[in-house]
Amino acid sequence: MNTTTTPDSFLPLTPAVFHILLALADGEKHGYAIMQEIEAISHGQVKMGPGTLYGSIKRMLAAGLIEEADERPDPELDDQRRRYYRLTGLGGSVVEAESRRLAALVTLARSKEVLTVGLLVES
Amino acid sequence: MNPQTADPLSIQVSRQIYRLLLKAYPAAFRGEYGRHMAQVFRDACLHTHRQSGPAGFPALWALTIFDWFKTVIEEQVNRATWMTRAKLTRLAGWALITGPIALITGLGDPTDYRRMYAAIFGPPAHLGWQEVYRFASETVPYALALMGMGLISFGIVGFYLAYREKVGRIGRLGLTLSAASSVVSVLGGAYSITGAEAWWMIFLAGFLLTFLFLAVFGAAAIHENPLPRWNALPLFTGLWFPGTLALGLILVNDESPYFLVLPMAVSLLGLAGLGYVLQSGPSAEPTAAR
Repeated sequence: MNTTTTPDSFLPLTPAVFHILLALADGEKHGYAIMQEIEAISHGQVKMGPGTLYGSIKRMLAAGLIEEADERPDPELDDQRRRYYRLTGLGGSVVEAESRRLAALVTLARSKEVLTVGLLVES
Repeated sequence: MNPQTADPLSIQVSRQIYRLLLKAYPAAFRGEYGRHMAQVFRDACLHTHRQSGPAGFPALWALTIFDWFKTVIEEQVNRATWMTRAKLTRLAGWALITGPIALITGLGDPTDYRRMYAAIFGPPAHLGWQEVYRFASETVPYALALMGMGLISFGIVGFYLAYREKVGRIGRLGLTLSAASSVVSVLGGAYSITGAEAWWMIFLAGFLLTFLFLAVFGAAAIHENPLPRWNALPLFTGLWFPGTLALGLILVNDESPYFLVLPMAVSLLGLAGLGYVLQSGPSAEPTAAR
């Protein structure tokens, strides 16, 4: 079935969806690896529980932003099989569009002197 | 040895409690993701245990309980909303199937209805019964036609709710205007009981516009394939009756049944077909990514 969804039609993303897309931007991951990556890239500010993670994954799969890769064990954790997820082409476009939107907001904040360059670098 | 049985007691107890908590999620969600959620929770327990020992568990549980409470409500509300919407869509589909039948039956000649009453109940014995037959032969078709148009209107609104997100702006506009025209037609039909010609004309105009705007959606449907099957049917249904009527009245100047009743019956059959598509549509839970 052909749908007419464009990346912009998904914006703005919820923080959970945006962080999951960012976590998958550099390759496929399983659920716990996504959680760890989100905690790392947000410097511990975003801690996602299993319900939020898999609720978001369910909706993102349905919207075609991500897809299931396969089930295999993570050699660094244990011998349990884990389901891996990766970005789709649409998911990649959506995370790019959302990043542009947020960058434009940061530029706006700078132009209004709400955010100084020094503060941004410091953070 | 199973690595999970070697977990420290605090992790084993936490896992058992979390497994119980998972039962609060809708069964379909639990069936699809429950195992993975339990796995992720165990990973988080192991990580916490390695970093902080049992002292780290209150913070982990605070996050987990908050997450559980919020997402159980979200998933249960999603499920309830989807079930309501699925039921409404199915009902709208049946309305689109039965509405055209009621409408076409209601557009029959009152004389035929009087004959039918006579066949069922016997010929009217005296003047009083003749009046009853006459009144019924005018009221019943009117009520049937109005009910049929009301059902069609409900069906098109259901069609709009089911497919508005699957077509572009033009298709959505077509469906919106088709649904609005069908409501106008019902109102015109309802007020036509006053005998004013204008209301009858509003009924007819609304009826024709319902089909024409459906054709607009149909043109978009050909391009975007929003329906699970028969994507050409909305265009055919929407164009057939107004097109044939225009051909008969304007080009040939013919008001015979070949240019009015038969094309209308064909288009109404098309509406019933769309009702079948609607009530037997995909049953997968619709979700939004945001």
